[in-house]
Amino acid sequence: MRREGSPWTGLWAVFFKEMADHLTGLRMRILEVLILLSALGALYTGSQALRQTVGEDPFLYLKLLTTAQDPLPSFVGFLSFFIPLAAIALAFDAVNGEYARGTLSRVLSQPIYRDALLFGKFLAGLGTLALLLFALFLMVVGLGLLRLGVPPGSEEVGRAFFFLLATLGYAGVWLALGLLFSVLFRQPATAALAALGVWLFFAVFYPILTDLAATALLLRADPFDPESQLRQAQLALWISRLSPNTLYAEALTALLNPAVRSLGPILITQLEGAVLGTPLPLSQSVLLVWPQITGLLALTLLLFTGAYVAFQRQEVRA
Amino acid sequence: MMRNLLALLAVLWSLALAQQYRGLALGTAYPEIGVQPGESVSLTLTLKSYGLPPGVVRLSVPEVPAGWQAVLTGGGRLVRAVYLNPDQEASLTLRLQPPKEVKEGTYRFLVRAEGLGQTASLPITLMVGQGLPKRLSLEAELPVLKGPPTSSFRYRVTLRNESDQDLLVSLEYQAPQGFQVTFTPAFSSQQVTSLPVKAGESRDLDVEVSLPKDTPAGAYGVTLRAVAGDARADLALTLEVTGRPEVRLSTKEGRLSGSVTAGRENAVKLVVKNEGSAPAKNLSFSAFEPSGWEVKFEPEKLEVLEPGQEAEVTARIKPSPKAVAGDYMVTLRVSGDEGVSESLDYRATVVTSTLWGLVGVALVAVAVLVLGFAVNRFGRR
Repeated sequence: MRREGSPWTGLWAVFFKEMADHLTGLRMRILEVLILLSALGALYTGSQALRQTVGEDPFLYLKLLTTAQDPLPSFVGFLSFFIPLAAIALAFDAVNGEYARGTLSRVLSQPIYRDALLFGKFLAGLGTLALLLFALFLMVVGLGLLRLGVPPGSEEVGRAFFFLLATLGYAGVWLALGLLFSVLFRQPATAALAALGVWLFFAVFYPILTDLAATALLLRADPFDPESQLRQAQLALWISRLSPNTLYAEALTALLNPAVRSLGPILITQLEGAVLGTPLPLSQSVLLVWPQITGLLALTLLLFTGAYVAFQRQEVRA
Repeated sequence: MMRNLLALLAVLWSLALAQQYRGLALGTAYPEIGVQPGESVSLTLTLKSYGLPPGVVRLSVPEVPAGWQAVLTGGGRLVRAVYLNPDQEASLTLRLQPPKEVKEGTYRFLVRAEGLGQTASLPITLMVGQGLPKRLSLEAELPVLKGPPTSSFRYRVTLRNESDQDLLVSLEYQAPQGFQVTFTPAFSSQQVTSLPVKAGESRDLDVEVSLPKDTPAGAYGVTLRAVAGDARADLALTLEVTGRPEVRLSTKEGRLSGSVTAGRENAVKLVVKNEGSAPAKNLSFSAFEPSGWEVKFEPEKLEVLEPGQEAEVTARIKPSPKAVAGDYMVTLRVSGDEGVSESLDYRATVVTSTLWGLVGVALVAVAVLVLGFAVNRFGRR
């Protein structure tokens, strides 16, 4: 059966309606307050630590984002914890909620394609998160200006832009996952639990499993043979890179710390004659994490495609 | 006969007695001397008694030309009388000071010693205007020295005052443009341009000639001159400057950093310049690079580089394909005959190829294509 008409018809109507629902909904309010408060706390303690310890740094704002002071984690630490939660919270009842309320057939009786409905829901979630991230970033700059008294440099702004992009890609993965589960499971609670389970699996259990998997897959690792150890470390790294958490963490490391030159194990011969501690140019840092960023984007697209295919094959007139 | 002999003996005896002088002797080494106009003279007088009992001898200068001052001193004080033991000698100084404007001519003085029943007098004549002319001489121990332009040429020179008065000698020199000459008294560190030399004495001087580093090889002459009034002395010194090559290495635009792509040859233009004074020969290029890197030079060797000339050399730096992005130090070196060696630290920022970035873009494009295919395949009303 060939499709008729453009899949974009009605996209913007769905997008703006969903966006308005998100931004006025109580669920988003709670999340916003949570994120804002924790981010403020992290930034405040971070800037406090910076003012006491750092005399001069060309990347002061990046330091502000990554400096942690006990007992609070750093700003990016908070963000990498809250972003998946917020994304799942926005998407877990996107489709099955409509079923539950019986509003799906009513929406689809309008001149809106199913494609547009799913696109709009996804884009609205992404737009809400982007708005939240941008507001957070402006808050960081404002607080930095207030507390540190130094304007951010162009290199820092560029790095922050790519940091936001990577964060958005990471959020997109969890948003698409939440959307997929909301299509697959009829009960919103089941979808939420499943998505949170996946998140917990990648956040807590996956790092433990990678080492085990690498040892299991490569039995020849000999403690007296450095080469086999290197092979095992590389295998473990590649397995861990299947997790979006690892991809995001690596992207953050290279983008927010300009002195990072490589994300894997490197041989001492590769560092011969190297001037250590010098910052990489932004283009090189981006090139270093380009696979991670594109991996996140591609994963988002594939998860969304899965949700799309599942949704298109569903019976909606229930 | 006998009587004659006795008479002869008596005469001889009296002669011998006459030889055995008894009395006062007043003398000086040179009682007639020539002096320059305006010069005051100090004469050393000796007064001795021969066979006289001890006693006081009075001294006076009865004859003094008009305007002159004559003062007798002994033991640092004014003296009018001397106490003499038998057969003893006393030393006195007669100081003769001319009036302010003294004419040339002959001036006579008389010094008299009276006492112990004896009198001794000493006439002294000063011939004003008939002194020795002022004369200086300069001599070098080693008047010809040889060395590279960076070394110091140090001559030991003796300045002699060959006149009869103290002179204030000023030192001058004539040297080629850019040469600097300094005078230092021997065993001293202070530089001087003039120095006093006493009559008849000499001073040793260290004369140091420093010259521009780019002085071409050759022989150069420096003339020293000591001047005191009309008196002057010249001394010609010779410097035999040997040339020395001095090579400088830099990049063409002077930047010592640049980006290089990992795994590819990156050309860096270098400029070799000979800033010395002799041709540099057999210049060869080498590099100290991180392992796995390759550095080639084009040309690999330069046979000769004349002073003041520069040559362009291309260094082809090929970082290891596995090089991690970031900054590395690469040392480029040129070395040649006669100890010529110069190195250059080049900070190479390794840039990784953007090929993998394109692969990432292709990956995303594939994902978009899958989505587009799904929209096409499963899209329905």
